[in-house]
Parts: sequence; C-alpha cells; structure tokens
Amino acid sequence: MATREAGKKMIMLKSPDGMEFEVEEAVAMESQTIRKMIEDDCADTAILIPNINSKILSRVIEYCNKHVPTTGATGAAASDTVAPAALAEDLKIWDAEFIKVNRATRFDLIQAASYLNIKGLLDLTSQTTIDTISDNSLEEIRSFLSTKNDYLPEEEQTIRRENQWAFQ
Amino acid sequence: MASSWSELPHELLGLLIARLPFPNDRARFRAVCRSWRSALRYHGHQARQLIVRPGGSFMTPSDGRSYPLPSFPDNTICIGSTDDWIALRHHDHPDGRNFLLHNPFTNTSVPLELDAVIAKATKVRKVLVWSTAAGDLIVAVLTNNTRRPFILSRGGKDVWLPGSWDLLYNFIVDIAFVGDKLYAITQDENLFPIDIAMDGDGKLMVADGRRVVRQPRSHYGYNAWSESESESEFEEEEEEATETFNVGVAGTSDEEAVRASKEKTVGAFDEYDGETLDEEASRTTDKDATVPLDDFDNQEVVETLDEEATKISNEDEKVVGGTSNVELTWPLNDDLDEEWDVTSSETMNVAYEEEGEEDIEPWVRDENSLNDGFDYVYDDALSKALTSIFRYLVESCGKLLMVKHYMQLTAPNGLPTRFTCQVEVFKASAGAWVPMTVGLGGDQALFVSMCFSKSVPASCGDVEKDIIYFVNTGEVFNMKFNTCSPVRWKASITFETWVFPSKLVV
Repeated sequence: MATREAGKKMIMLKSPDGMEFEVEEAVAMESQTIRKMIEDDCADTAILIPNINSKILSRVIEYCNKHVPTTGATGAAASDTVAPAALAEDLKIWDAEFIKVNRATRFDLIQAASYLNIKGLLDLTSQTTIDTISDNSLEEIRSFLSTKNDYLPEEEQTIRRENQWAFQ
Repeated sequence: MASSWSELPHELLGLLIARLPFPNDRARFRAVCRSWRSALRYHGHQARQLIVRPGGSFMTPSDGRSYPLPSFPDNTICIGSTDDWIALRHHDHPDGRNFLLHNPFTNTSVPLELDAVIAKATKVRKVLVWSTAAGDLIVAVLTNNTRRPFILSRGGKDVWLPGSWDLLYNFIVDIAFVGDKLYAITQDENLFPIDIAMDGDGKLMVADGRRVVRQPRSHYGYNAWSESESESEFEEEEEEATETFNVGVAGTSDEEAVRASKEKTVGAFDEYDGETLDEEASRTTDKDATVPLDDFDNQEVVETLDEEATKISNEDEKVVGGTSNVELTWPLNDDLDEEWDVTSSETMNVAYEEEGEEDIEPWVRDENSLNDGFDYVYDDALSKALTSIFRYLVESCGKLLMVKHYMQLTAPNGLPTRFTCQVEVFKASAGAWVPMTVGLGGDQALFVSMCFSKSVPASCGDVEKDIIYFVNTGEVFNMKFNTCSPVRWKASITFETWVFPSKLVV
C-alpha cells in the first residue's frame, strides 16, 4: 500500500510484538498522538506503539490509509474528479465493512483509537458500542460486552429503583 | 490496556457517555457495573431539559447535536409538551385516534379523544397537561380555530368547550397552570383564571373568574369583560378589591349562589341573542365570581383563609361552575346545535365548510383561523425590519410571569433570520403587570417556547439564574445585563418545545 515515492516522508511504526510498519507520514499523522511526536521531533527512527499488537496496529493503519485526505498525486489520478459526496458515501460503506469484526477486536480497536487519538476511528468504534447500549436491556448489554456484573443483588435493585422510570 | 469493558479508562467511558444524551440510556449505563457508574457520576452531567422537534428528534442545549427520540411513534409529529410528556398528532391513524400523550422516558402513551373537536385543518398551538390529585389527566388545548380556540379534556373522556358567545377564548395567546389552576393571557395582556372543576355528575366544567390583571380596552376591539366588569364598576371594584372576596364568600349562601348562577346563565343567553344584559344579573354575577383576585398576590391570602371560608368558597365554585356546565357548555354529543354535533373528523370537515359559508360573524378573521397569537409591528419601512412581539405566560415559584419577546425578522442575505431586539418580564401583582428589572428572583431560569415554558431552579445542571432560554430564536437572554447571545442549538423554526425528563440519579 504505502510505497515509497519521491518527496514522501515515511515513518516506521513498531508494535510491541516486534512487527514494523512503514507508513507515509501523512497517514501516520491521522493519529494526533503520533502527529505530536513527529512535531516534537521525537520520531527520528521508529515510533514504538506500546500496548497495540501488530494485528490491531495493521487494522488501524488500514483505516488511516483509507481516511487520509487524498491530496495531489497520491492514489489514482481519477480521485480528483470524484465528487466529495460520493467520496463520503464510499467511505461510509467502507467503514461499515471495516467495523464488522468480533467483539474482542472491536474492544481493542476502540482502545487503540483512544490511545492514538484518531477521531474518526474513535467515532466509528464507539458508535457501535453506543448502539449496543441504546438498543438493549441491561442484561443484554452485559452479555454483548461481556462485562461482569459486580453489583450485589440488593445494590442492583437500589440502582434500578433510583431511576425506576428508565427501566419500565 | 484494559482487558474488559469495565476496566476502560474513565475518559474513554466519558466519551461514550457524551454520545448517550438520552437519560434512559444513561440510567442503564450506570447500572452495568461499578466502574461505569463511577464514570457516569464524573462525566454524566445530565441536562434537565431537552429540545424536542416536531419530527421526533431531540437536542441537548449544551451539545447542539440532534438525536432521534427513542420510542417515538411512526407517522406522528410532536405538537406540544408538558414536563416529561409530549403531545403527538398522528397523520392519519387507522382507528381515528390521532391525538395522544406520550412519555418517551417511560414509553407510555395515553390516547386523547380530541378528534371530534379538532378538525384536520386546525392547527394546535398548545397542549398542557395536569394530573389531578384524583389521578385524572386534565388537558388544556389552544388551537387556531375560532370555533374551538380553547378545549379542555379530562383523561380523554370528557370534553369542555367554551360557548360560541364566549369570545374571550379567541383572544388567549398563552395559558399556564399554577398548581391545579389554569390561567390565560390575552393578546392585550389581560390575565384571567380558568377555573376547572367537576359538576355533580363528575363532568368537566369551567367558571370564568374575574381578571387578575386588567388592561384598558385595546385596539383589538373586543372587551370580553364588558358584560361582567362594566367600566363604571371598574374603579369601585379596584378600591374594594380585598373586600370583594369576603363579600363573595361570606355573603353568598348556597341558595343565593344557585340563583345568581342561574341569572348569569340567563344573562349569558340574553347576550347571545343580542340583547343587553340585565343589570342586576350582571351585578350578581360579579358578586359570586369565584376568584375575585384583583390582586394576584392575594391568592396566597385566599388560600390561607380559615378553613370554613375556603370550604364555602369551594362550594360556591362548584355551584357556579355546575350551572355553567349544564347551560353554558357544548357537550360533545349533545343536540343543542346540530352543527356542533360532530362525531368523526370527516363529518366535521363538512360541517366546517358549511359554517364558514353561512355563519361568518364580524369578529371572525380569516375564515375559521385565529392569528398566531403575536403582534407584528413594522419598525422601519425602509430596512423592511419587521418586529414581532410574542407573549408567554410562565409560572415561576407560584407566581405568574409574562415574558414579552420582541423579535426582528430580517433577510440580509435573502435568508430570513430572527433575532431578539428586546425582552421584558412582568410579574402579575396587585392587579397589574409589574416589570421585573433586576432578575427573576429565587435563583430561577426560564425555558421559553411557544409550546411549553417552564421556570427551573438555576441550581440544577448548567443553568444560570436570571437567564431566559428562547427556543424560537435559539438565543439566551441575560436579564441582569440585558444581553442576548446565540446558542449552539440554534434552530430556524419555532415549533420546537422544551421537555423535562425526570431527574436522573447518578
């Protein structure tokens, strides 16, 4: 994907499990966290991304590659003529496919998006979680998100009673 | 990195919370696990007021984003609200019940049997709801229809309409409940109570009370009180304002009251037939008017009078109103007037057309349509600036306030834009509107809209005191500094309403 082109600065990203990813600087700077590192000149050789394994990091890079603003000669020349609305629609469809992952991956992605501060990815990953909360009962939320109910039965009763109207 | 959802860092949970503005979602969020609950406590500052749009989306004032309202029924529009209830109108419901109350927070609905009295073409201006101690739901409706400008309904069972001679109701621009008492203001700023009670058969009835705030006869050309509050008596009554109540209560036995009420009824019919009102009937009516509150502040005095006086007063009310219900109202399926006896919206449409042709009275403006309840004043013919004045009646800490909102409509770039040019707030006191210049008092803030206005304590949420939030211009007015600033939820139409969900315990 990210082939070296003349005039394009490349950045090396390293995952804690030893994988290295060479990406265009513009793509890496989709992450506000990495952007800050680059701007502060802390990114001479390679940037270690702690806590994000290679599997998740590669997905994140895939997302950034797709969402990096296409300026000038990058990608197909035809992209200049595509209407912005059509482009946005295309991205939406792509996003919907991208987020079709299992629960564990989604959980890792939301954390990666939060750590790397990638707004679009954070919006995308949190929206699916929000939909889960809005559309389901308390028991279903816990089951879908595999969260453990650490309330005592009487505590939970109180919690529900406090906002009884919301549980009717 | 967290290994489970309950271990997610607070800021990430806060991000989720920010995207869950609906209070029910937040209530479930906090019940998931301990860590989510503590995150909600930290991040879940809950706005007590939401803006609901006709189409069923809602906004929080601080956010400005629009979200769909869960459990909003299909094919309906929101036409009003009261606290956590919204009033909905169905486009064309299969069983003909097009009006309902809906609580989006408890997902409960109550059908309102208003289809027989509100024609399809009639615009509903306001729907207020009040739950009585007996568990009845009293619904007060303002429409733009001159035939039925005001409608009272009890739990969808029983409907009260003003008599066709009772032109007063055509001049109401806003209504508000103070406890279980309903008050109305007219376009010329008269304030009067609409006393709702039950007659012996448990039917709704209304007795018009004396004006709480009187304004001199206005250019609107109709003085609704001329028959009961003639100008010659006006000054006399002013002087005896406080005494009138005592006379009314102590001096009128039940028997007298019944007689007086009957006379009132007769008088009313006389007037309807175009004859002048019998002077004595007029005087008697005055005497037993149920709420002779020339001084609104006296209401507190009235309410704290010794028990017996209050009891008699209540009985008086019932008697007056009771007669009123039998003689002065237009019961839905009564044969008093065939034209009014409509049972389905279809026949009603026909009836309306007929009425329009054969029975146009001089006061009927624009066929059967009332104006929208606000004034237009051309400020400057050159700049084409049009100032409109909206009047809102708002209850605040048991007092009645009138908010006068002057808005200018300009089209600098071809797009019509509304902005506030002046705001005045008055309190009903001592028979007059007293300007409130230093603030609302009592750390209150006002949320104002055409559909529903409410005064809330400034201590709850991010609400500041002495601030008025206007839906229809999307502006916030600061009474202290007399300044107005735009807000994030700026909306271009005036049909949004405020909705106040139950308090979310975090």
